[in-house]
Amino acid sequence: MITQGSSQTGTALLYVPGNSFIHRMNPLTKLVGLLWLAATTFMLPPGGMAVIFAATFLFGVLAGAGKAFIKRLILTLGPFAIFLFVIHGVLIERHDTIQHEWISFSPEGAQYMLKILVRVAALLAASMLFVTTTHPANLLKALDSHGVPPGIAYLIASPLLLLEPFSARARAIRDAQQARGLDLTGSWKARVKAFPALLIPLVTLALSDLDHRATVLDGRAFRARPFRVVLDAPVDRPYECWLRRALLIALPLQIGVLLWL
Amino acid sequence: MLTVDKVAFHYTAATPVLREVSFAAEGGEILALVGRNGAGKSTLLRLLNGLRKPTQGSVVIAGKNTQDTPPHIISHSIGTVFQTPEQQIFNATVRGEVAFGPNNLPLTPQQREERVVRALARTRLTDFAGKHPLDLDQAQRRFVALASVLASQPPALLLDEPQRGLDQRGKKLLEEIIREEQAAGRCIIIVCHDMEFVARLASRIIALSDGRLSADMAPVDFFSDAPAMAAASVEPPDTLRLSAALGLPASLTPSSFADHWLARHN
Amino acid sequence: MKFDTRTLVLMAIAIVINIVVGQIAVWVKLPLYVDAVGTVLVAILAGPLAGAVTGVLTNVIWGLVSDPVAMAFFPVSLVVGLVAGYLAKLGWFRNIGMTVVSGIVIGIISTIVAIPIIVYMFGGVTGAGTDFATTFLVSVGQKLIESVAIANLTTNLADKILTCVIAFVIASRMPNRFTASFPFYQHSAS
Repeated sequence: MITQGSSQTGTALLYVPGNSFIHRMNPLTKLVGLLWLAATTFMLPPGGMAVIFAATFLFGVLAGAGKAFIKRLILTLGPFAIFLFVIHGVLIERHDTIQHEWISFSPEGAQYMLKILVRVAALLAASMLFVTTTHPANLLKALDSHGVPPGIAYLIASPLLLLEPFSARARAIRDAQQARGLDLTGSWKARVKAFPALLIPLVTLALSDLDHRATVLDGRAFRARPFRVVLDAPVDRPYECWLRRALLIALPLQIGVLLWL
Repeated sequence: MLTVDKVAFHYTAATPVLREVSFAAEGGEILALVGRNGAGKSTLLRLLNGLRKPTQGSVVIAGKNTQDTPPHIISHSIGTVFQTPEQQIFNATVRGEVAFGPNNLPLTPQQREERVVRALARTRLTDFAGKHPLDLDQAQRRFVALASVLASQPPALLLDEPQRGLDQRGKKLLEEIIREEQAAGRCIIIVCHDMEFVARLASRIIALSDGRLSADMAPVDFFSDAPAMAAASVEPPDTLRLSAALGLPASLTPSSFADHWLARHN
Repeated sequence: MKFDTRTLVLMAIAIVINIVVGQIAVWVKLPLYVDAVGTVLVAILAGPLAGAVTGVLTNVIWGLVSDPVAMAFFPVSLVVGLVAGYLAKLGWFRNIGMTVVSGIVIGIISTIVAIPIIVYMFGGVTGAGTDFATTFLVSVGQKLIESVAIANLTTNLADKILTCVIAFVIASRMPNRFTASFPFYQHSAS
């Protein structure tokens, strides 16, 4: 299914280097914070969601990631908002639909559209705040130092490192196959046939040195112990531990309150 | 059959890679492209097979301008063997790999079969036709890539360091094939660092230095021209140094050295 | 949930493939994403659990690198990995005909899982080309859920069938010494 909401903008990290307060927070705190924000967003009315959106956006700008925020928000939310409005504000028949000459409009539909839009915006902004202020390497060190198994850490670190080399290889393969007569610009049939000719060498090549990679990892006693000691783990301040615990306890309480009311 | 006319290329305006390179080549010639790493050889190679378009000037191959012809059409006129054949491997058998080129050409199945069989025979891969290309060693994979290009029978060949990693037998076979292609009237361009190899085979040396064409001459002249060699960061082959040290006419190969020596001392 | 080192490396590579394949699709101007090819490949070689983890982590990493919205769809990738793995166990990836059927099944199931996410979280809008079809269907009177289902089902079916076929071809073209070390592949080897 769709794992990309909009066009890919390259394989560089979304991380924006900086030294803001948020940058310096422990990655785990930020992760728990993100989960709490995401869950809370679902519990709030649109006004509350808008507050979350505005707050996270503000923090993002303060952290120096304003540009990345704006770019991603426009790319994702732009077409999204348009389609939402057309579908819910205009097309779907609701009981308060006002019929103009050739177009109809439903205020209730527009309200629904706004609610969805604000919620997605809040979630997106919260996620952006996390990814722009947290370098994956730091996240991994934080996870490692809290006992996350090395296997999981590897599964996040390794792909991030391999993205750029694989992209480069894909381009080299495209060149090599074109130089052998592969047509990328022809009929859709030709293009569908060209697709495996570009993908299969990439995968085959990648898998052919799998044994070697695995041996190297094992040779480094990669999983000799269930968890690793991290030498330069991200700082974990006492208040952050408490904050995390507080948020994690707050969540089921919030759900309880919501269900009760 | 191949004309490079005042070609310049840069990825960004601040870093020009090639400046004003011009030369032409005909069928039956073997051109060696030499120069230091970073001089622009790989880029020139990609301009010659149409994978990149020149930012200025033009490259015309067999009448087709690379500026407005897609690479896969250019590949019918000039076949490329890259340094890392693994990047093209797409089939589970050597035979399938070699057939890739002819399969993209308008031929009858019979013609395709003939070409594949012949290419396998020339590269001594007939016995390996059913094997998986990745089960072969580096040198054999190189020959698989070469066979794949030979099977397409393009009028020009572009070889990127074809001799690298080959043992003596491999180099001999490679030379044999190159000479066969030359005799058949094909134009061959070889990017190469091995000066012995170049001295034996090339009819012309194109030297690149800092993105510019610093020499376009016959091997004997090039290897006698110290400034030209220095500009291209190239060391002459041993027999040449020996003949120069002994005051003999420039000899590129041991046999011509022996001839000159015996001529003087008889 | 212990995977051996080779399986871990396979999964890491598959995650990257899932992400890079999108670039390739752009080069051939294919309107399909085929972004589960790594997931299905892992499922065929190492089973449903490995496939599911590969799928989920692909969404996570995609979210870190490109578009956080992708993270919302992790259940879909999870289901693709699980179903592909179980179908492989049943021998449904043994030949190309059965693989196409597997693609159809996975396409249908993944659409079913995706629909609630699309409708309730995103109001029926995916941000991809299917939105035009969805809009059209709604405009001729179809209810939202049905429109989303129909619009996404067709693309998804084509996408998953192609995905499964490619994964099948890749697995079958690997040298024997490679596939021999993934015992789970025995279910699919012919």
